Amino acid sequence: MNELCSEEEITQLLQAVQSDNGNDVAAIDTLLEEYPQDPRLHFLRGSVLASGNRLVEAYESMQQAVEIAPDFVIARFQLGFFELSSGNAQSAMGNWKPLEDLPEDHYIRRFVRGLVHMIHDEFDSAITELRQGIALNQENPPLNHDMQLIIDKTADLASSAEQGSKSEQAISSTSALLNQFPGPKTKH
Amino acid sequence: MKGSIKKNGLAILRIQKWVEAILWRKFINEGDVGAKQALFSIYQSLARKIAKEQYFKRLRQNVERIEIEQLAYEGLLEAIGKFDPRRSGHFKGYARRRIAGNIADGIAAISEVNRQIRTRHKIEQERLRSISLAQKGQDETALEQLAKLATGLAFGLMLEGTCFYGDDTEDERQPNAYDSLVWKEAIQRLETEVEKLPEKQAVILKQYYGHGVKFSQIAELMGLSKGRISQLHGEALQSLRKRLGRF
Repeated sequence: MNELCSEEEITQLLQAVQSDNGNDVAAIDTLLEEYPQDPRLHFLRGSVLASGNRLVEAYESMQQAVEIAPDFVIARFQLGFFELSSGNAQSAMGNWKPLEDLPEDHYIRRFVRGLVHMIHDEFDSAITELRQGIALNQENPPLNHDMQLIIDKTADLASSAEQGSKSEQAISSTSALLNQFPGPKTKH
Repeated sequence: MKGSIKKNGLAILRIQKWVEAILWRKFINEGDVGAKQALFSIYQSLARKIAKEQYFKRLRQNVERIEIEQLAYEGLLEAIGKFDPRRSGHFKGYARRRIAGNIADGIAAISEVNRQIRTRHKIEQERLRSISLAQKGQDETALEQLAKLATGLAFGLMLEGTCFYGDDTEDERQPNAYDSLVWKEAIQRLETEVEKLPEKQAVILKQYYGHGVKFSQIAELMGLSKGRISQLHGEALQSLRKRLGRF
């Protein structure tokens, strides 16, 4: 029995999920019964659940994806981002630690570095890194959108302390990864 | 740029629904009592809001507001204990139904006679017992014991006027005879001292005096026995009395 589903199955699944507005994980669960060790399915499940605000399950699916495939870069980044969004910076940085080994010109590395600067209130450095990450990222446009929202919010706060809530809801769209599902990023 | 930004970076990145999701996960998967308390605190204002709505709806039923608030907190605790975010959708709607239901059931179960006096009486008795147990010295005269008891009760009265009462009905409170400068200063000192207490004691005082949560409900919230909560409450007041010696 194969551990990973075929590219064809993944493509069909993505089409099914997207045509369903990304709110139903039944199709993913069906495939997961056959391929429980496919980290891409767990990642996709986590993304769909997050976009449907089923966050506890989303977190657990993303965690599962990383447990199965520690080198699954986007899943690891996303898991850390979930943790950071919940205010748990220590867990986020722990999960991102292996991402420090990515090449300098990898957008995820820049995003991680930028977000770590944010955690330490180093806003100028954070914005610089996030902008560099956006410039480097060609494969994952929704993630660029989310990072831009963080930059905008930081800039808003710098110009006016009164503005604060503009992007709270919007940033959560990082969870809506359906349109950006980048395909396998794992060595598995 | 750093100096001009009021919020910190982590606050910019924090998203409330994710904060809650991780709290639910900690509470449900790990039985984390701190997570349960945090969830209770987040939704406490919802319980008070529903209690307020129900109170005005039931004015003719002659039910005391404090009693409805107790039922609301009880409903909230039940809702937190039974909610499964994997199955039940959004907590707010779920909690709203359970809180309103618990208020309706609770009021129906209470006999008409003595309804109003019972809750306040129970609270006063609960408080009195707690203070008496904690402050009884071996070689004290009856007068000394009485003086300590009075001090403890006075702290209770003051604590009810502290900012720990984070109510949405703040604007309804009218200035009273206690709103003098001296009183306000004393209350501020008291608030400062409460913050210095051990965490459990501070939580108990804030929930009990700030929000009118009963010992039994705080016990459920903190995973301790009601007796232990009463004991910690008494110790907290005793500790405050020592720190604010001249009161």
